[in-house]
Amino acid sequence: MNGELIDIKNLTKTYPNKTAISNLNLKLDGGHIVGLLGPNGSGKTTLIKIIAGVIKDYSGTVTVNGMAPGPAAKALISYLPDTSYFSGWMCPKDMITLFKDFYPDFDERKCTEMLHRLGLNETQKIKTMSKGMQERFQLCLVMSRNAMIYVLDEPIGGVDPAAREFIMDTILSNYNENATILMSTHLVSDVERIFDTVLFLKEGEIVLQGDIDNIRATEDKSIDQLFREVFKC
Amino acid sequence: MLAKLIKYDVKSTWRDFAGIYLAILLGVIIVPLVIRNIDNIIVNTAVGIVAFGIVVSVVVITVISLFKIYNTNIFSREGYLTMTLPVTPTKIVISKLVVSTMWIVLTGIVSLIGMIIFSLIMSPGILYDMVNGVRYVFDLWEGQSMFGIVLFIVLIILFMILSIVKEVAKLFLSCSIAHLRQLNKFRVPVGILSFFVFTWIESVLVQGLSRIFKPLLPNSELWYETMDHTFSIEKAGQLIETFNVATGLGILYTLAMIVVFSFGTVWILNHKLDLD
Repeated sequence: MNGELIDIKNLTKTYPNKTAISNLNLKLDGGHIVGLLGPNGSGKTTLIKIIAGVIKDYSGTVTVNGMAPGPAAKALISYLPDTSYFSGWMCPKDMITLFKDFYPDFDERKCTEMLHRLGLNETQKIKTMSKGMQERFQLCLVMSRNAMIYVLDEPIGGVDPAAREFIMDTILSNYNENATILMSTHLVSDVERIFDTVLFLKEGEIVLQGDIDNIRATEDKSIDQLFREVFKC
Repeated sequence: MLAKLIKYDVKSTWRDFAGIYLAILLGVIIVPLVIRNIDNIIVNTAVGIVAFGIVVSVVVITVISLFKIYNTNIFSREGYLTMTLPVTPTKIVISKLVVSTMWIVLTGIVSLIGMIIFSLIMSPGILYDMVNGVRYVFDLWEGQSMFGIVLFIVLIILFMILSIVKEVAKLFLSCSIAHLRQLNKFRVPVGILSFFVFTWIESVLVQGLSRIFKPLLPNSELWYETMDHTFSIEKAGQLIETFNVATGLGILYTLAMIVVFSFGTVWILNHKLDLD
């Protein structure tokens, strides 16, 4: 087993009319907050889904903590998709019980506290919550795990600025500090302050990767400005 | 982990089936009471239509629920939860097979009880006829080996349950094939066509296997005697032995097909999963 938490070699994912990821190589260590940045259609969600294990049809190798994708690797990853995954019959209590049943690292007390701070109760049907509330509750579930990797797909996309603040605070105050957070977004200016590493993804390829302070010093501009330059239409 | 998966699959579906069972039980009580006590052709016709509607609803809701157990829980948004749980796809498929079979068997039992209640309300004397019928069958078998008969009943029930599991496993594989990225545009027809193609392949396979194994069955000549009415009841024990061996072979075949269909489903989930 090598030292990398995520090790991706020669990853390629194609669809009938498009190459979503093209010969991508990536190594990520533990203890970082990594911004996966790119415009719509650059391959961020595809890359995240492959790491999370909901896309299996690709070429190349992906290992998590030295393990091929499987139950042991999935146990290390706390994944927030860009859509809500609740069933219509569920209430927060059901989801909390489910997470407790399947994830030994899940902190039920933390999740319940966050739920109450959102103004929700455990027996309210999830389908009666607004879309924003569902997304926030989903984030609470994900961040209540003491995982090794948090993979967050566009957690602040499509929410108002006040909600963005809540989401960023929830992420920063609840994650396991020895873990790595990999967060995709195209709203760079809102989250630049929290990243220590950034990856720029363009048309399925990594065009820039590195420590955020070094990049700012080298390029003499903010990540948001650099993003606009690199992905200029 | 398998027990937990089964628990959540039951939790996600029990409401649908509780509704079906309530409808069945209400229907088998109300319909015969109305028919017996109200002598009006319009009312009786309406009640008959309602009864027919209940039967159709039971079948439709059962099929939809089976579909939901697998297709919605894996290939829709819910799949982002199901397929990221720290369990193998094999356990996910086994859980859904077990729960689907459980609900189908339970629905069958409730329907059977419903038919008995319906018959008893329509004609209370039917209970006496049923008991006499069972007694008659047992009288016919007097002198024959009880072990053979009991084994026959057990094997038939096992064969029926495994056949249900096989059909559900076939349904799951057809759903999985329909969700292959390459066949995305034709999802519904591909799913339906896959199911019928598998059914056709099975019928060819069963015909071929029957030709091979029928002559090898013990007392196989008794099959022909039952057909040309030269069969005598004294040979019933031997015929039961023949049935038991044939049913045993049927069970082995069904188990093999369950493994084949499930293996195909698990392979697709392990290598071709691509959630939207």
